[in-house]
Amino acid sequence: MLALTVYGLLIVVAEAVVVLVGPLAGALVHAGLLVALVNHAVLAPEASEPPTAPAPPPARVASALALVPLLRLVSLALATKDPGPYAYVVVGGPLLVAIVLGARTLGVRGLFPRKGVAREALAGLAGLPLGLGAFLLLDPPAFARDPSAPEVAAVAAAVFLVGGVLEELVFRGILLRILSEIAPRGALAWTSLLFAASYLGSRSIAVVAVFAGLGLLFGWWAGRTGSILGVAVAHGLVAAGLVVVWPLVFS
Amino acid sequence: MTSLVSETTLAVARAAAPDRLALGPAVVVIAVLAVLLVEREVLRAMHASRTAPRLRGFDLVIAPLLLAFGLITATRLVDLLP
Repeated sequence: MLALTVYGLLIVVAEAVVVLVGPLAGALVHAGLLVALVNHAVLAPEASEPPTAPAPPPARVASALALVPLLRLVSLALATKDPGPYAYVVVGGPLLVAIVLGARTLGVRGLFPRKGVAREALAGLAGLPLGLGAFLLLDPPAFARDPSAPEVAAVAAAVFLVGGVLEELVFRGILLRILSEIAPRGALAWTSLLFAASYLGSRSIAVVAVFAGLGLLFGWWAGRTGSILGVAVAHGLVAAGLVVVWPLVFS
Repeated sequence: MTSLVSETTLAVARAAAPDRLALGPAVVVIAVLAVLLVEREVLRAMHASRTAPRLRGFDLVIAPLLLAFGLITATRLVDLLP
């Protein structure tokens, strides 16, 4: 448990290093963490344990935590000059592979239960006012440089899927669930802390604070309902509204 | 501005050039991939029966890094094209 707490804090430190020291230094810290977490996950089982036994909770948490440095390494390594849909599609590919393998390896199932779809859809629509509120508070620059309908639709769809849905699969879908196995009370706070830390790259305390609040809200809802459908849609709408739609509407 | 595409990643992109590849985070990704691939094979050879189910922990990270490596190579090749 102590080791996992240290890993969590080191991930936050690594995110800070990316911003305060530089991307290369941050990438090196994330790389060290990634290798350590994978080794922890693979070598954690006791020697007397039968090889077919399921991985113990600390190993599962280490595997889930490894997704965060992996996310950052991939986003830094695949940074492109074009912050349009191309950038999101390129970063989203490896991330999607990691999520699918992570969910399968860790036995995470039932993220989108059929029960309560209407309730989740309504919760997802909360992303519209939340995104508008975040835009009015943060006033970020627009991602879509060409305000033509196809360009705006493509960028919005890419941001919705990769910046919203995939991030929710990582943080609320896998990380929150796996952390809840070992720390039911602290899982929400830890997941929200790591989620907020992943926004340090924005170089804005206001952005980090807003997404820390959203992380707590999304985590509370996902934990309460057992589904991430609503929070995935809400996060996607917040992200697409914040950087694509609302800046064009108010320009 | 999301956690994946932020001011920091845009700054990295603006500073990127083929001749600076050796100092970039892309090389860190390739180094991590190499380390994990070697380590996985060493562990497999040393403790084949006991650790085999656990080696999937490596695959969880190696597979996306392999895809990232392919994309890094492809984008750099595109950069180098006249």
